[in-house]
Amino acid sequence: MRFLTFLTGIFLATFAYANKPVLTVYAPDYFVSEWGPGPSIEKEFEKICECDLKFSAGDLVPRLILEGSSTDADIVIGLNTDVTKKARETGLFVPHEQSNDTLFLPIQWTDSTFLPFNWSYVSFVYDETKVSQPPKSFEDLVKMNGAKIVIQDPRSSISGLALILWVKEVYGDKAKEYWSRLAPNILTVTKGWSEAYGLFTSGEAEIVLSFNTSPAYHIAAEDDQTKKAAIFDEGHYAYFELVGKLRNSDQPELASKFMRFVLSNEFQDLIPFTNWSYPAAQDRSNWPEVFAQLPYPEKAYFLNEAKADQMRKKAIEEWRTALSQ
Amino acid sequence: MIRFDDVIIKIGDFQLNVNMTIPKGFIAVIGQSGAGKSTFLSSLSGHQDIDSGKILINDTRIDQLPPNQRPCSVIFQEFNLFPHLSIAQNLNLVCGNHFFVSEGARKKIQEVLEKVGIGELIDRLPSQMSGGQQSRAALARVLLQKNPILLLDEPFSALGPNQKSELIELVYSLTKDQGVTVLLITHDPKDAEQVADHCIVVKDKEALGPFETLEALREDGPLTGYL
Amino acid sequence: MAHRTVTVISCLFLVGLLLGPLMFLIHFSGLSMSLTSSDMAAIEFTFIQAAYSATLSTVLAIPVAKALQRQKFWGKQFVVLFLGAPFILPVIVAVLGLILVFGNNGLINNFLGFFGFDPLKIYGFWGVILAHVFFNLPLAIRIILQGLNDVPGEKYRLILSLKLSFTQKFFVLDWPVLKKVCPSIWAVIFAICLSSFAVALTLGGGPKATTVELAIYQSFFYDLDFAKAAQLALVQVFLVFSVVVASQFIIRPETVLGLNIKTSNYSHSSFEKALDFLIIIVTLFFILTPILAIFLFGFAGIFSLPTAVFKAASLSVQIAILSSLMSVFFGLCLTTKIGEVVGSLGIAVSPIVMGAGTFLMLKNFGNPYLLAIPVTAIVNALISLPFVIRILKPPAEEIRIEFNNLSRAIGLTGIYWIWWVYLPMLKRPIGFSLGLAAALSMGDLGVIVLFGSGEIATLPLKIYQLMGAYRLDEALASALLLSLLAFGSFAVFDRIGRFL
Repeated sequence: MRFLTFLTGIFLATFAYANKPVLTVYAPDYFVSEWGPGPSIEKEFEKICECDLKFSAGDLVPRLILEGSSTDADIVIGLNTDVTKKARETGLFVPHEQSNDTLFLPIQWTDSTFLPFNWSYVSFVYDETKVSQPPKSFEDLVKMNGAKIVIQDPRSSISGLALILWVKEVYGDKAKEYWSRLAPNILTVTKGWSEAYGLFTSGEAEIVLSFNTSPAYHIAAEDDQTKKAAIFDEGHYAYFELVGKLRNSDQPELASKFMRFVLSNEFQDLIPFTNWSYPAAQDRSNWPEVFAQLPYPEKAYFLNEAKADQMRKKAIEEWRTALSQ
Repeated sequence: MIRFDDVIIKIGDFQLNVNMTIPKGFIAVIGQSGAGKSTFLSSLSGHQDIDSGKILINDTRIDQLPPNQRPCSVIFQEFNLFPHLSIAQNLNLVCGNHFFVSEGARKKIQEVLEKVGIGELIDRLPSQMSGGQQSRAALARVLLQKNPILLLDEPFSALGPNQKSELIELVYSLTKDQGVTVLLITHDPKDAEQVADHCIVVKDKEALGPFETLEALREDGPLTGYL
Repeated sequence: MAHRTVTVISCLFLVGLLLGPLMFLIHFSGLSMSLTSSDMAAIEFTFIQAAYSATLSTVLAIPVAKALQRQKFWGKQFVVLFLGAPFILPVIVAVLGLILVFGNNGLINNFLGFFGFDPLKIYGFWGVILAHVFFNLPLAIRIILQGLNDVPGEKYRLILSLKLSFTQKFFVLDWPVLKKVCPSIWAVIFAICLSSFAVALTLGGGPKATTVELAIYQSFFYDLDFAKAAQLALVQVFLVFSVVVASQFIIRPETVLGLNIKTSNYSHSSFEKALDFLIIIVTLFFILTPILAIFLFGFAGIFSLPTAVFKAASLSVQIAILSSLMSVFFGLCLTTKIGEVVGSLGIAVSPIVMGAGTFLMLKNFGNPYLLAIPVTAIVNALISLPFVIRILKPPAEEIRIEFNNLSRAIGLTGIYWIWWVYLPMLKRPIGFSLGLAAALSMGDLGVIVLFGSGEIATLPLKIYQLMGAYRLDEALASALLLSLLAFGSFAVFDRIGRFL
C-alpha cells in the first residue's frame, strides 16, 4: 500500500509540475541530503529558471555506465577528478561552455568538459588537545610519538586515493618505502571518509585523513577550535568537485543555464556552510571569515586525470604491499 | 474380509511375507519386537508400500490407494493427536476439510467423546490430559472416521496394565456390534486372550494365521517359545 | 508430495531472482577471466577470517546455549532476547560500539591502562574476528538453544535420572543436537563473514584485511570494471555455495526418540550452576557493553532529531515489515535440504552485483527507480532468507516426520495441513524469523541506494548522510534510533510468535 501511495505521489508530482520543464540533476547522496548543499541550490535555481529542478541521488559514474545513452540526467554534479577519465570515456558529456578564467583555484584549470564548483586541500586533521607537536611534513608524520592515524582505503574512498597519489607525487620511487615507515603509526584503514572521521571524533585516533576545510565545521557549527588541519611544507593535494552537462539532455538550454548558475554568487555563497569547502569561483576575499582564516599550504599538487590514471594502479599496489607486511 | 495375496514387503535387509485371509472380528497380532508387526499393519493402512502381491478388502484391491482412501483407521504408538490443537480441533480434522470447527461437527465430536468417557474434555489440549485420556481421544478420532477396519498399533503400551485392559475392553465394546474388524498389535498374549477371536503371529519373516485364539495360545501352538 | 512441488517451484524462482541479476550483469559487461595476486590475497584472507569467525562463534555458543538451557532464573527470557541484539544491529553502529568498549580509547583499555597493563589491540586480524564473533555469536546461541529446547523434556529427565557422568551426559543428550545444528550454523556464519566488508575494513587495520566483497566494491565503483566485479561475485557464490553444500553432507537426520516417561525434577551441582552463571554473565558483558555504550552516547540527541530522520525511520519500518513477510513466506516454502542450499545464495550473491543486475533487468521493463521500494524489500528479504530457513527448517522437518503418519491417515494435506498443522506448530520459529528478518532489513542500507535513491531514503542511509555532513552526534542518535527500531520490531514479532 506504501507502493500505491508512492505511485500516486509520483503521479501527482508529475501533474503539478506538468507545465514546468524539469531539469534532472544526478548528485551523490550526501549532496542531496537535507544537510548537504542540494536543497538550497534547488531553491535558489528555481527562483530564476522557471523550472523544476529534480535531484536524483546515487553513485554517479557506475549509474551512467549502466544507463548509457538512455539516462534521464541533464546535469551530473559532484564528480571528482579520479573518475573523470571514465566519465569522459562514456562519451555522454558535452563541453561546459563556461570560461575557466572565472575560477579562483590554486592551479590553472584547463578542462573544457568538467567544471569545478568547490575545492579544498586533502589534509591530515588533528586534535590539538592530544597532539602537542603538529606534523609539518610527511616525515613528521612518521615521527609522531604514539599519535595514531586513520586513513581511508584508496580502493574504496576518494580521499584515500588522493593521499596515495599525493605521497607518490612527493616521494616518487620511495613511496613504497615511505608507506613501510608510516605503517606502524596507522591505526586502521577504513572503507570511507565517514568511518574514519567517526574514529577521530570518538577519540580512537589523534589524526585523521580529511580536508583542510574540515575544521571550519567544528568552528562554525560547534564553536570548537581544537580541530586543526596540519599544513605540510611539501604542499597538498588539491581536491575538486565537478559538474558536467550531458549530451542527451532533453533540456539543453536549461542545463546551460544551470552551468552558468554554478559559477554565480548565489550558488557559490551556499558552498562553504553546506559543503564545508571552498567555493571555486570566488576569490579568498569573498569567502566567509572562518574559511578565509583557515591555514592553507603554499603549494598545491594536482594530477590531471591521465597522469592520475597511469599512476594509480602502481601507487595502490605499492601501498598495499607496504601495509600488508 | 481382508486378503493378503502373496504380499512381500522389503525394507532394506528386512523382508516380510504375508499370504492370508483375515475374517471379521477382533484379531490380535502377536510377535516379538522387531518381528514386523507394525510393518504388517502399515501395509494394510497404506503407510508402508508393498513390493509385490496384492491386498484386497471385500475383493477390491486397495494396495495402491493412499492411506486416507482405504477403509482403515489407525491408532499409532505415538503422535495420535496434534499437541497444539484442542481435542475438538483434533477430531474436527476427520470431519471433512474445514478451516474452523462448525457447530454441527462440534456436536458430533461431543457425542463421540461421551461414548469414550471424556465428554467434559472437549476443549482441552492433549498436554492437559492424562495418557489414558489421550488414548481415549485417539479412540474417539478413529470412531469418528467410521471405517470398517480399525488398526491399533500398540496404542496403549505406555499405560499401566489396568488402564490398558480397560481401554481394550472399551474398544471391544464399542466395535463388536458394529461389524468392525479390529487388528490389535500386542506383545502380550493376555491381551489376545481377553478379547480376540483370532490371532495372527508374526515371526521369521512371515505373518502366520489367523488362528483361533484358543488354538494359538495352546502350549504347542504357533506361539511356542514366545509364552 | 505436494511439499516437494512447492519447494521446487520456490527454488527455481529464487535461483532466478538471485542469479538472474548476475547473469544480466555478465551479459552487459562480459566476464573477466584472470585473477591478480591481490585478488588471490583477498580470496585467501576472506576464507581464513570467515573460517576463524565461524568456528569461534559456533564453539563459543555451545557452552552459553547449554548454560541458558539448563539454568532457570528470573529474567531469563530477557537475557535470551538481549543476546539477539548484536546480530540485528546495523554494522556501522555495532563497530562504533565495539570501539567504544574495546578500542584504544575504550572502556577496557582505559581500565587496563589504569592498572598499568599494555593496551589491547583490536585493529588487525583479531579485530575482524572479534567483530564477527560479536555479530554472530548471538545467532549461534539462539539456534543451538532452540535445538536443545526441542529435545523432549521426558528424554532429559530420563537421561538425567540415569546418573551419567558429565561427558556421558554430553554425548547422550547434547551431542546429537549439536551434530544436527552446528554444521549448518557454521556454514551460515561462514557465508555471512565471507560477504562482510564494512567490518573487515574498519577493524582490519589495513589492506591485509581485504575481503572479496571489498574487491567487488572496488572494481565496481572505482575501477568501473564491471566484468571484474562479476567475476569476483561468481567466485564468492562458488565459495559460499560449496561450504553450504558440504555442510549438508555432514548433517545426518536424527530420528527423535519419543519417550513418554515422566520423572521428578532434576537438579545440578552447585559447581555446574556457578560455572553456567559465570558463562552467562561474561557473554552478557561482551554483548551488552558495546550496545550500552551506543545508548549512552546517542541517547541525548534522540529527541532533537530532524523530522527527515523520523520520516526515513517510518519508511524503513514499512520496508522491514514487507520484507520480513516475504522472507518468511519464502522460508516456509523452503524448509528442506535443497531449499537450505538455494536459500543460502541470498548471502552468497554480492549485494552490489545484485543491485546492479536488478537495475539492468528492470531497465528493460521501465523506470527502475519507480520500483525502488519493492525491489529494496525483495532484496532485503533474500538477504535474510538463509537465516530464516535455518530457523524454520529443523522444526518443520520434525513436524513432517512426527506427524506424517497421522496426517496421511486422516488425509490432512495441502492448504488444510498448512492451516491446521504447519503454521500453528511453527508459530514460535515463525515469530522469531519474522523478527529477525525485519531487524536485518531495518539495518540494511538498501541496494537501490547505489543506483539512485531519489525519493526514498532509508534510516541507515540517513545515518551515512549525517556522518558525511560531520553531524556525528546526530548520526549516533539516529543510529540509536535505528537500533531501537530494529530491536523493537524483533521483540514484537518474537513475542507475537510466542503468545499468539
